[in-house]
Amino acid sequence: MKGYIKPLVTFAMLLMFTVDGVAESRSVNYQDNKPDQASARIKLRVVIPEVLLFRNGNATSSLDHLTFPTSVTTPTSDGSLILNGNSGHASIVDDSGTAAGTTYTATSL
Amino acid sequence: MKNVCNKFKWSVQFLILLATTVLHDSYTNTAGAVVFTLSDVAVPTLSIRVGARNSISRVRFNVQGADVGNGIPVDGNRRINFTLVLRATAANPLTGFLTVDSSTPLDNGSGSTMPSSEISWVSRDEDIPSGSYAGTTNQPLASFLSSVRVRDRHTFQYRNANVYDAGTYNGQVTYTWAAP
Repeated sequence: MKGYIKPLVTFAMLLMFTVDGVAESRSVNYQDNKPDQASARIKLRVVIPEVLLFRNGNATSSLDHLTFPTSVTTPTSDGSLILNGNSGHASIVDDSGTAAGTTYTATSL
Repeated sequence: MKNVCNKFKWSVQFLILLATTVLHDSYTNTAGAVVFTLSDVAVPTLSIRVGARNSISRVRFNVQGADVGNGIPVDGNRRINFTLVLRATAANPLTGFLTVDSSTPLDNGSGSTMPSSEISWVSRDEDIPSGSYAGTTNQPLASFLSSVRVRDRHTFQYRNANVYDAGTYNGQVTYTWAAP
């Protein structure tokens, strides 16, 4: 009987190869094995840098007595002030002459 | 008696080898003429691919410090290709529905979350229309009649209209392509 085993295995391997060759994947990323639906996913990543927000009446009691270090830059979009500190947390010291109610964003680099 | 057994054994092996050869040739089609037979027995097929073929693609949005919450959308770092296939017989057509589950918010791992509704997309062909995630489990996106192959490409944006705690927010959305 030993003599039959090898050709039988060969025959089975040929059949397996043939079936694999015509198989069609129903779903590539993920399949839930249900006959009428397939699913696929994507991952999302949003990176928010460390930002210190100082809002009127929130982080400080008054914005009327704050000044900014020399690293302050002033964007033209909404009048907010961006502090580009050298390292760690940016500092807000005084704000002389700036109207209350303005939103200040201090960026920690 | 031993010789008879050996002859019988080799005969059986020869027959098996002959059968496998015939089967193999029938698949490799080594005949001089090629005959195409179109039968009306198409197997209903449904498949979906979103992004890369062998992995789950990730869209990343890097918000710059000076831009946090300024209302100017931030583009994703990559576009995502969609391929939907729905095949059925003409006698028994199917309608495929594409939905997305974005109910799980993005999480920064430090206790803060961000709803996926902060993310929208622009469609290249509008086969799968432009829109934004609703943050629900079963948001309908498009439907198509069989038989169809749909290819489209989405460019994603982070809305950037709110200020969230610092961190790396990770999330995942699942697109389901179904023909009930």
